[in-house]
Amino acid sequence: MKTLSWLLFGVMVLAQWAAPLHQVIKHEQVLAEGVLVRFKCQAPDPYDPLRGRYLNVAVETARVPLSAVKDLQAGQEVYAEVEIGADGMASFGRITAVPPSGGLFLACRMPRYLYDPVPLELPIARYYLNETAAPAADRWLASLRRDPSKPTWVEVRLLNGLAVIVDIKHDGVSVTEAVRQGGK
Amino acid sequence: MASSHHEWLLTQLPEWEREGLLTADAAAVLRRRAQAAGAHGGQLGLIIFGGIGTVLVAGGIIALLAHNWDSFPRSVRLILGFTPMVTGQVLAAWVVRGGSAIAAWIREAVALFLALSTGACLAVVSQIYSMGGEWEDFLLACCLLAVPVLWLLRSNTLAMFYLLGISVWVQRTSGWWGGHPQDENWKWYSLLLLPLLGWWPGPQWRALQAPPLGFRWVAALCLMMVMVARADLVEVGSLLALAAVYLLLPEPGRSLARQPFILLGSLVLTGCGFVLSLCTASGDKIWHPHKLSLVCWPLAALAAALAVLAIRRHRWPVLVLAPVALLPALSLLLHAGSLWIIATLQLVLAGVLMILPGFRGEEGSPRLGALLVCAVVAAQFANSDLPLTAKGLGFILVGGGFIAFNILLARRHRLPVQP
Repeated sequence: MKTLSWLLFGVMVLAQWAAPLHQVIKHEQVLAEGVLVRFKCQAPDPYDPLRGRYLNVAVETARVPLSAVKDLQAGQEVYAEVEIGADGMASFGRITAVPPSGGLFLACRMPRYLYDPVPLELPIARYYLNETAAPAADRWLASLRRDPSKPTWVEVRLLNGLAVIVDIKHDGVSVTEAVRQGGK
Repeated sequence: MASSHHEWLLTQLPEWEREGLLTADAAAVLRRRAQAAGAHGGQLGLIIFGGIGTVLVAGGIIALLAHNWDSFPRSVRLILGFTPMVTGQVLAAWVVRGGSAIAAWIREAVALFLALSTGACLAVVSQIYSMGGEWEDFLLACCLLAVPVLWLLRSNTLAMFYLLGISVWVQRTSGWWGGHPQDENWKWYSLLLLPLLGWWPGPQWRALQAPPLGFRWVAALCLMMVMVARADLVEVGSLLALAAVYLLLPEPGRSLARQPFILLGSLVLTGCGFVLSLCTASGDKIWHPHKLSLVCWPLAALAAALAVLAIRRHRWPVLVLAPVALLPALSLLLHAGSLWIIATLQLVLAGVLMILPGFRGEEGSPRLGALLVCAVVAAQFANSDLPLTAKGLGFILVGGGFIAFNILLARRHRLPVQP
């Protein structure tokens, strides 16, 4: 009985380490080897009861015409090809059910209900900040939003369809830096 | 028995001994039993307060670290995220090593701490890398990682939290809030049954004991909650089959308050029986089995097996009430005009069978049976086309009959009439 208990203990410890460690290794690899891309976005500040405050990263090009995804189903995992524009900003190209053989792409999900334009569910939808920084960042970004010539973008490292947010910037100024300096 | 009862017994023993009602030996045995049972009751308090204490300590540590979170580099934040989990694992190893020498409340507190700290570790990693995903996915991951903990440490408290978590997850992902009919599959139900494996005694399966009362209450409510949430997606047949299984389970306990499965099963089936007994005018089919749930059949088979067991144990009222679950299916063959008669007869017969043992001096629920009969008769009066005066007289007669029965029963048992 004791042997069975220690066996179960081993399985438990393995599972408890494997789940978070797998995520850590995967995301560290993306941060180390991924390509840096920028998506124009808006980033208001909602609240998650379990994981705290974050900026809701709403990528402007995440809405695609229904005709572009007519062969895909609601809720399906899909792959969006990432294309870099002349202004250095990224946007989405073809949406496919299988990963593209080369180039930049992002694994994402079709929404549960389909309407035109289709809002892709991106894995870079949240940028976590602390309880005081998130509302301050929200206020700072809202105060600057009126000038369309100075965009807000999210900087993302991209590798094999997986993305990790590095920072959110407005006209080249990091939101975390701005908040640290009092939003000036 | 509640600990207050044990205290009362301990205060009474010297007097009974003086009066010669008990011998010194008998009093000593009773005293030992009451003290042991009282100590067990006290442990429940320790478990609850141990659990609350664990949650508060974990919450406090998290709050302290959260205050300085942004000033730590990513590696330090990761180490801090893993530290509570590793502490929990060390404590769990200590509990496993200690075996049965470790107090139940410590085992419960360690299990709860380990499960919460594992969830916190996942949350911290998810937060550090700004990972997407819904909170339902996070809840499922936390629940699944808690399963080996509750198996290993045999924690009732964690098992209850697990059941609540999984039920909420099933509700959110497949119930009224966003379910798809194609979501119907076995994972919902198998996930709910996972904690039960922790109580499996191995080869000595005859030593299998019923889970504690608190766990049974949570399990009965959660499973019913999941089935109710999915009733619109699947069909009402599964819900009624589950209620029949609940009702027929040979559950320990002398009162309905200590038999949550039987209580919930009887409430659902009695309610269903009442609704059907009042469907006198409708000519429509009551049940529209657009899609038969896969889970309906094993539940029906389990109910049939439990019915055989109930026949061997002479649980007649239960055996009369349980087939109410079949009435919606019977509506496919019969006109609702005849269905209400069957439902009414079943409820009345169940009530009478609950009354009879009480008059034979056996264990039964005569007052509950009388209440059921009176309620059925009163409901039929209310639902009839009789003039209001006749209905009024009917109510007076039923009420009077119920009071007279209560007095008769009290006299028979030589008990004072309770107001």
